[in-house]
Amino acid sequence: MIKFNNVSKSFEGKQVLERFNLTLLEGDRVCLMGPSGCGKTTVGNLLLGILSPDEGEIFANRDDIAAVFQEDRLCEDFSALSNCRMVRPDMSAPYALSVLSKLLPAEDIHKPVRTFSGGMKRRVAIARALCADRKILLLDEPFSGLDGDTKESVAATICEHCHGKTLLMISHDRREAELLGAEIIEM
Amino acid sequence: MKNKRLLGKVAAVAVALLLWQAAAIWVDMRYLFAAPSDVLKTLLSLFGDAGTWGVLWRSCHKIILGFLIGLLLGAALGILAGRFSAVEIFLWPYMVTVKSVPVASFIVIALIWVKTAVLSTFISVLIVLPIIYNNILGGIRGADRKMTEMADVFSLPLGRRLLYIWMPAVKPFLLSAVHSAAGLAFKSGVAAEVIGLQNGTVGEMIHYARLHFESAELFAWTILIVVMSALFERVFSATLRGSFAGLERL
Repeated sequence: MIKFNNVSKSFEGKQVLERFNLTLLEGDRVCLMGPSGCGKTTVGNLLLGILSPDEGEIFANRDDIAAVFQEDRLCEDFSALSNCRMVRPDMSAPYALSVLSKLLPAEDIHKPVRTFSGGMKRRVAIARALCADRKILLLDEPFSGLDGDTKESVAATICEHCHGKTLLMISHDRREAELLGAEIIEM
Repeated sequence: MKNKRLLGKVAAVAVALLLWQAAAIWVDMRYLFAAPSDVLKTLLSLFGDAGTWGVLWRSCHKIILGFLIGLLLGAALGILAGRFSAVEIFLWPYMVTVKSVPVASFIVIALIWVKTAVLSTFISVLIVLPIIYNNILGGIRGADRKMTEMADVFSLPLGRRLLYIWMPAVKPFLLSAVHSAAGLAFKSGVAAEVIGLQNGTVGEMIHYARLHFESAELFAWTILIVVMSALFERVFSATLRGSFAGLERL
């Protein structure tokens, strides 16, 4: 479960969140939507513990959360497969390969990520979060840099791997939320 | 373009050798200022002498051992200091002292503490350790904050942080540190041999060549140790690069 209870956050005097409340139960799929600067990514960073709230409380088990960050945050010198295996030491290579093969051409899986295009890197970041196999998945603008057809196939892979999991998505595109079947919350 | 640069360097060396030869002819005191032709003759005679290789081995293996100990210690302490700032603060006075005290002072002080046989190893450790330590620490401190946050979110254990987050950040720092530390280890190691009169080493050969005004021999031994230092640095850097590439393929 995730619960934001009257959470406020400001940066250099500018109030970004004011008494923000959100509750997500197991299996919920929610998309936070709103214009740039409304605090969507701040909610994600608060949930991950990267930021601390000025006021209010956040209830969530951080060990249960995997994330696709707004930026890819990949280990550029390592292969796509290494980037996925990195997050779960006990994960077998065949499992990571099975996730990656749905998102990347097979010949690219063993190549260093630094040689990839922006869209391919985005797909590796998504594969890494799926491989972490945690109960909650935070997706911050997961489809940025992907074209229409790729978005659909990537969304299908996310849905396949997130059955019964809690999903919190951050986006400014209503169609992307619909691809994941997420309930939209306007901020 | 590359060939042009190489040709330019070869020409520059040739000009330098010609100037050296001309200066030696002008000075005309071979025992004080040997000509390149004399140095070459001495080098060839040293190559033919089986004892030369023993002298080089005795010097190089002790200096390289000191370099490796300094590298391992510096890396371990750098990682610890990068992880725990208390360690950095605790080590600060030692690192500042080792970095700022002149090598000659250290050699003379070390002569009181350690046996002459291990003096060059000891001095190499002291010279290499702070260079590696500071570079490793700088690399870890310079690691992308966003990558560290990612490591926190995915709860990466220390080993994986080392491999995936810190190693890429430290790699360029370490390679450049090894480049300068290897050269300094040889320079200071031989200086320790000269001052400590370490038996059967390059330093001792240089010392006696100076005493007997054998400047050709002095230059020849200097050239030999410079070549050994450059060779070691090249081989070690290539091995290190290869190791990094191997780890990145894991």
